[in-house]
Amino acid sequence: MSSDDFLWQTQAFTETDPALQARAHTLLAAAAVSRDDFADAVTHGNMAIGLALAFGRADLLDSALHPCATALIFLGEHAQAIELFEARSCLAPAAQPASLEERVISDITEAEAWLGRSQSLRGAANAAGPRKALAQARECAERAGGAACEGGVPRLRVLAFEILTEVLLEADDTGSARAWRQRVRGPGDVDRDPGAWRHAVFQLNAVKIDMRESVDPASDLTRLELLEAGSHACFQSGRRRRQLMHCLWQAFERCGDFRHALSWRKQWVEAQAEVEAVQAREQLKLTRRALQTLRGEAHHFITDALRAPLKAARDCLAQVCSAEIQDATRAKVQRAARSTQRALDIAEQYLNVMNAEYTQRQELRPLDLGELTRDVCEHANLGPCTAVALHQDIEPDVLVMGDAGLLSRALANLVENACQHAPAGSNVRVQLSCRDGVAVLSVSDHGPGLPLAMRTRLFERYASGRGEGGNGLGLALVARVARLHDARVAVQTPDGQGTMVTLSIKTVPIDFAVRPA
Amino acid sequence: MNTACEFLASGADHDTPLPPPWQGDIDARDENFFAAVGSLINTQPGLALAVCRKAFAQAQARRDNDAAVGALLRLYGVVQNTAMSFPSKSDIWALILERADAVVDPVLVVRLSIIDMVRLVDGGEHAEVLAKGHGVFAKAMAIGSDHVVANVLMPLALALRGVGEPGLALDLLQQMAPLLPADAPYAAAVNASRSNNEAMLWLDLAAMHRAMGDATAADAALGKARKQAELACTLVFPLNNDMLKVVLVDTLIQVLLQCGDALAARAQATRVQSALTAPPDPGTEVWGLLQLALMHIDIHEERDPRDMLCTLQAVERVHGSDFQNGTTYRVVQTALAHVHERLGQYEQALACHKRLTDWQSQTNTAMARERVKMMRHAALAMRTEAAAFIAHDLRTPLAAAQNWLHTVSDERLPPSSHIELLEAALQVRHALAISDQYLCVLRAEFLPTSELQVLDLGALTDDVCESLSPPTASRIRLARDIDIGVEVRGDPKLLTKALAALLNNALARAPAGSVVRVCVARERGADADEVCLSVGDLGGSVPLSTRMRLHQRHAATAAVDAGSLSLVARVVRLHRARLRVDSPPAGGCTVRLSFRLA
Repeated sequence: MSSDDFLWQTQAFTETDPALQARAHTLLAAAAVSRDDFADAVTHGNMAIGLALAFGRADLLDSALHPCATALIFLGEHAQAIELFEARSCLAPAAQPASLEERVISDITEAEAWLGRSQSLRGAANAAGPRKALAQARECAERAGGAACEGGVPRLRVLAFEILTEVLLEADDTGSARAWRQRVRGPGDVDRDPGAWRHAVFQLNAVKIDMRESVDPASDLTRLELLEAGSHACFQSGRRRRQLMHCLWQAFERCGDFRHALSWRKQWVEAQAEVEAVQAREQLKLTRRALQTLRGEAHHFITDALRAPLKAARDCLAQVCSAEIQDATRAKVQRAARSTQRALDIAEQYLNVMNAEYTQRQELRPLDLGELTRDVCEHANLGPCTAVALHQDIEPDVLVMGDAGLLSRALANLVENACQHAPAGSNVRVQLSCRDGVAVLSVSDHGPGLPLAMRTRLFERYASGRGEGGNGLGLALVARVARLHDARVAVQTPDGQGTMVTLSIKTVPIDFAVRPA
Repeated sequence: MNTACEFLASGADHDTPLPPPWQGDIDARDENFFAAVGSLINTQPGLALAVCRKAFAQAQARRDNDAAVGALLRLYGVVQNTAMSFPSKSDIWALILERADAVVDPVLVVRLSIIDMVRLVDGGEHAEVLAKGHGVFAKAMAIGSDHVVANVLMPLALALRGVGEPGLALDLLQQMAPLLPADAPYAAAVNASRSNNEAMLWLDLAAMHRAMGDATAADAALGKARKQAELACTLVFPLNNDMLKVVLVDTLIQVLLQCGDALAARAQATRVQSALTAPPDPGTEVWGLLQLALMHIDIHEERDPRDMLCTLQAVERVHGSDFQNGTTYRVVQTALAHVHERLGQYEQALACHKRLTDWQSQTNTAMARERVKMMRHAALAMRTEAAAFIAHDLRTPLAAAQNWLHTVSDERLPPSSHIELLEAALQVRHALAISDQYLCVLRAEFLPTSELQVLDLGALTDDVCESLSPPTASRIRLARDIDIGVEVRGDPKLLTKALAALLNNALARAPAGSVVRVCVARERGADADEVCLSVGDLGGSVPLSTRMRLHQRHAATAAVDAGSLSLVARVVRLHRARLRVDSPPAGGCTVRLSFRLA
C-alpha cells in the first residue's frame, strides 16, 4: 500500500480526530525515512509536529520528533533539527512520562543533530560555535548513555555507546570514550553472545577508540577483519557498513598493506558517493516542493483572495454609475471604477506571466499561427487610439508548437503597445511570413522609435520603456512567452524611424501537426 | 593590477608602427573592432595584443571610459584564448571591474555580462549563470547582433550542462549554429568550440542512455558526438591557436576511444601534432594537455605503464591553475592512480586516490547542489517579482480607486447608491489589506537573518498597543505590563504587523467589559536569557483549526486567507522564537512568544 493510499484510508477517521491524524503522519514520516524518502519524511513530520503543538500534546510531539529530525539530519539541515527539539519546551511535559527507550532514542537523535551542527560549523570563522554545539552533543549523548546504563537494556546501551564514541572522538577525548566503553559493557552481558548484533556494533566502536590511539594496529586490523568475516546483518549495508569500510582501509594503511587499503578505500568512496547522491536528490525534492508551494501561494493570492473583492467593488461601482446621480459625482465614480478595473487587468496579466513561466514545453501543441494572429488583430483592444489603422499581411498555413492562450496574450500586448505609441493616422503593421522553417511574426509602428539603450532594457520589468502607460508586465510577458517557445524576439528601429518587434519561432511540418490532433 | 596597468600604459610609446588598418585612431566601441581583433586572436595573437594596447592607450588619452573597457574586454579575450601568461587574466579583469560601473554603452554592458558568465561557468557557479543569463539573453536579442547572441548562448548552454540538463543545453547550442557565419576567421574558432561543446553534450547523453540500458540511443548519441568532434577539429586545425587545437582534439580522442576506435584516435593524435604551429615546449600548458590526450590512448591500449608514469609525473608539474586545481588536475590524478596501481605501487596509488577523492567529494554532488541553488534562485526571483507586482503595479490603481471613493463619499447620493459605494470602498480596502499582508508574508519568508536588527521589544509592543484602541462601546480594557528596554534581534516592520494581528485577534475574541492582558517580561529560559511576550484574553476556547494555523511550521497552502494568524507563525519562525498557545477548554487564551535576548 502506498503512503497516499494509507493516508486516503485513514482520512475518514483522522479528519474527526486530530490526534489520530498526527499519529498517521508520524507513521508516514517513519515509513518515508525507512525507504530513504527524506523529503517526504520532513513534510509528514512537520504536519505531525504542527498538529501535536496545536493540540498541546507532548506525547504526540515526542513521537513525531524522531522521524522528522532523522530526516533533517540526513538532509544536512541540522539547525532545523535542533529547532524541533527546542519546540518541546513550548508544551507542558506529558502526563505520562516517556518510556526509557523513547528517552534514549530521542537523546541520541538530538546528539546527532548537535554533532552535525558542530561539523557543519567547523569551516566557519568563529571557533566558539562548533565547540558549543559539540558540548551540547556531548551532553545529550551522555544523558542517553547514563539513562541506558541505568535502565540496563543492552540494546540501548550499545546504541548510546555508538553516538558517545562518535561525539567523544570528535571532541578528541579518548579517555572518556574508554570510560564509557567500560561502563556500557557492564558485567559482560553486551559481550556474551558473539553472534549478536549488539556485540558486533560494540566491537566496531571499541576498535574505533583503539585506532585513535593506534597502539597496536595489527590487533585492530585483526578485530576488524573478524567483524567483516562474521557477515553480521548490520554490516551488510547502510551507515555501519560505511563505518566498517572506513576503519578497514585506515587499518590496512597503518599496517602497510596498501593494496588492500586502496581496495577498501575505493569501496568506501563509492558507498559514500551513493549516500551523497541520495542526499542531493532529497534536498532537490524538498526545495522543489518549497518552490511549488510558493507558486501555489502566489496563484492562490490572486485567483482566490484578490479577484473576488475587486470584482465585487467593480460591480458595485457599475451599479452606482447607472443610478441617478450628478454628473460630477458620476465622473468620480467612473474614475474609481476604471482604477479598479485596471487593478483587475493587472492581476490577470500577472497570472499570465506566471503561467508563462511555469508552463512546460511538453504542454505545447501544434497551432496555426496565422489564424491566431488574425484572431488577435480582430479582438485587439485598441483603446482610445482608433485613429491608428491595423494592417495585416499574414501567410497561411504556418504551424508552430505553442500555447494558444499565451501566444495570443503576448501578441495582443505587442499590438496594443504599438497602437498606443503610433502617431494618429498612421499604420501599425502585423506581418507573418515563413522562411527556412522559421515563422517570423512582426509588429511595426511609425512611432518615434527607440534608442539602443532603451531597447536593451525593454523586456526588463519596470523599465517603463516608453514613458507613461506601460506597467512593464506586458513586455515581460512577451519575453517569457518567447522563452517558453524557444523563440527569438528582436526589437529594431529600421531606418531610424518607428519600432519593429519580431518574434521568430520554429515551424512544424503540416503532416506532423495534423496527426496528433 | 598594477602590472596590467603598467603593461598597458607602456604599449603606446614603444610599439613599432602597426600594419593597416590599425594605423590611425581605433574605436574600441565599434563592433568591427571586436570582430577584427577577434579574427587576429587565432592568426596573429601578437598583433591582436598590440592593437588592444593601442586602443586602450588612445581611449585613455580621450578619457573615453567605454572605449577603454571595450579594449580591455578584447584584451581579456586575447589573453584567455591564447594562454598568454602576461599580463595575467585576473589583473585585467580587476581593471575591467574597476571601470565597469561607469559603462553606458549597452553593447558593452552585454559583453561585460557575457565575460562574467563565462568566468562563473569556469568556477562551477552554474545556477548563478542561469539566474543572470536570461536577462542578458533578452538584452543581446534586443541589440540584434547574431554574434552577441551566440556569445550569450555558449555559457548558458554550459551552465545547463552543469546542472544536469544536457538536452536543454543541446537545444541552445543548436540554436547557436546558424548565428555564426562560417566564413569569418573569428567565427571559425567559436564554431569549433561550439561543435566541441556539442560533442561533449552528446557524450553526456550517451552515458545517460547507457545507464538507462538503451544501447541503441547511446550509440546514436555517440555517433553524433563523433561527428561534432571531428567537425570541431576540422575547423580548428587551419587556425593558429594551438591551445584550442589541443583542447578540441582531446575531446575527439575521448569520443573515438568510447567508440572503440583507437586507430582513428592515434591518427588524430598524429594529425594534431603536425597541425601545431610549433612543437610545444615541455612544461607548458599546451604540452601538458597534449600529453594527457595521448595518455588516454596509451591507457586504452594498455601500453607500458612505466613510460606513462614518467610523462605523467612531468605533466603533474606543469604550472597553470587548471593543472594545479581544476578539471585537468583530476584527470592527471586519475591517470596517476591508475598507472601506479598497474605498476603495483599501491602506496602511491592510495595517495593519488586520496587526493582525487578529497577533491571529488566536493565536485561529485556539485551538480545536484547547483540544481538546488537554481531552484532557490527561482524562488527568490518569484518572490521579488510577486513583491514588485503588488507594491508597484497593483497598489497604484487600488490606492487611486480608494482616493476617488473618498472624494465621493461626502456627496449626497440616493440611499441604495450610498450603500453600494460603501460596499465598494470596503472591498477595495480589503483588497489593499490582503495585498499588504501577502507582502509581509513574502518578506517574512525570505528575509535573511542577517538583516534582523537589535530593537526594544517592550517599546515596540507599547507602540503597537498605543496605536490600537479597543472599540469604546465594547468596554474592553487593554492592560499593559511591559518591561521597557528588553532588546531582541528582529524586524520592526514584521514584528509590528504580527503583534497587531495578535492583539486584534484578542480584542475581537474578548467578551465585552473584559480585560486583554499584554505582558513583556524577561525570563530565565532553559539555556539563555529570554524575553516572553504574552497576549491573553478571556474569550472562548480557541478551536483547533486556529491553533493549527498558528503552528504551521512551513509554508503550507493558504497563506493569505488563513488570516493574519499565519503571518504570526511565519514571523515567529523568522525570529527563531517559540510560540505557545494555552487555551483551556473552560475558555480564555494566552499566546506566548519567547524571544532570545539580543
